[in-house]
Amino acid sequence: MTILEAFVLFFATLGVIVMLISAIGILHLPDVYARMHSVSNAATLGVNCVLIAAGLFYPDYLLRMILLIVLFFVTAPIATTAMARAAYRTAELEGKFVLRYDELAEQDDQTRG
Amino acid sequence: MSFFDSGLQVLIILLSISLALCFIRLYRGPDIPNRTVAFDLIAIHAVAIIALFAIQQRAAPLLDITIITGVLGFLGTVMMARYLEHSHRKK
Repeated sequence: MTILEAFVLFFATLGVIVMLISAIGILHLPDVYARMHSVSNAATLGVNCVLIAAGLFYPDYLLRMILLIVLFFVTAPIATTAMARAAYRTAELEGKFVLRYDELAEQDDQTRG
Repeated sequence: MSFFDSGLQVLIILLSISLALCFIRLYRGPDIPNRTVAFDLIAIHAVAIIALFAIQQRAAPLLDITIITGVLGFLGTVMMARYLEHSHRKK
């Protein structure tokens, strides 16, 4: 086992552990927003560590893996924001919990008139 | 089989268990937003499993598939979110 393989195995193990914790969280957490937080945990630290391991193992593909990491960092907040807005607008949330600053509701009030 | 290969095998098995947990949430999720969240996590798991498989099988061209899978998972999640929002607004 060379030093490169040790680094590859270390990064892959870190990523897999984070993704396993995230998958346990999506089963265990009580709310759709809490589950969303668990998913974004895996989408940033988890999969990016695995991709760094793949890029270290194949140096020709390192640039493509860095590109994919940048792509994940750009697309994960967009997907999470779209999902959170859809979940907020479709769910019946009255009385479930109280937000101090509920900006989406204020926006809806303004557009409604 | 060296320690490196067997370690990667164990990691792929762990990721498969994690993927099964995501499918439990996809099956049990009370409504469509929960299922969309589970689908997003399943797409991320697919990317990670393909990357680990490419390392284990010494097949570097498989890494190109991860890019396509990542983009498709993002598009599917955003599409489900837009569909949910618009279908609710029409009512």
